[in-house]
Amino acid sequence: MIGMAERTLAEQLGAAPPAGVAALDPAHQQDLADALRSARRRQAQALAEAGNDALRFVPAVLRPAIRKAVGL
Amino acid sequence: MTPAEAEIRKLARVLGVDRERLSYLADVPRDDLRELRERTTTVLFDAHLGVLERMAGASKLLPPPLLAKMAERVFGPLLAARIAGLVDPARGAEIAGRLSPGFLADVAAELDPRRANGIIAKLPSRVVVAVARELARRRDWITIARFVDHLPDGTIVTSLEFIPDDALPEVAALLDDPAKIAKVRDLLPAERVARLPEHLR
Repeated sequence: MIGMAERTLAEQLGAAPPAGVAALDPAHQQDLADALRSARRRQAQALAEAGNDALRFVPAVLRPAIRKAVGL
Repeated sequence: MTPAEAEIRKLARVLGVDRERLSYLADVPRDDLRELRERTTTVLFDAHLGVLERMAGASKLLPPPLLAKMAERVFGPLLAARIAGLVDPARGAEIAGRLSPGFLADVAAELDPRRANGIIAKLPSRVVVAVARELARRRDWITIARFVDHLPDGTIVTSLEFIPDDALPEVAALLDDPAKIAKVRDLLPAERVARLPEHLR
């Protein structure tokens, strides 16, 4: 169980967490991993919503070029 | 505020959670907390980097007034902060100059100044001062402390005018680089230095 929590936070960070964090109770390490995952999810959601809304502001003549540049 | 408490507050800000939730970090060494915060910041800023870079590239096709309108109405402060470090600094500063101080204060709270120092250096001082005034009104000392490293002395001097004496110890505790405490002290007028707690004089 300890290993699972460490891997989960380590996965979020891309490598093992600092020693003082790795020594925390597994539930607390899991809470950090959950908080980081939630922050990433909020960012992804903001990005998806912005992508959908942004084109409405772009003059129609420029939309194909913008779509191409963003890769939509 | 202990160094660990300051780090926990800054990490909570990065993660967008209440600092009370992270109270279990109280006994973790300060250096480990700082490493965790810096790595967390990197993870969040590098997530979706490809899309953000393409958006920054596409923004070259649009005029700054339109981009400023889109920033406030579509992108919001979080994405504006993520993109800020990816656009040409002069163009980014031009867009920022068209944004309201309230929105810029929201962006500043989400920004990593290390990644956006090109734009920050080119912002007109009237804009920085308006944002500093708004951040001080909100008592957002975390963001103010983060910017002390990246602003020219003249702008810091003007911004310090908006920070009340009773908040200066909190700002000092939140600075990443303790050496900056001496710098800020040197920029304060003598009568304000005299009112600082003894450990900061």
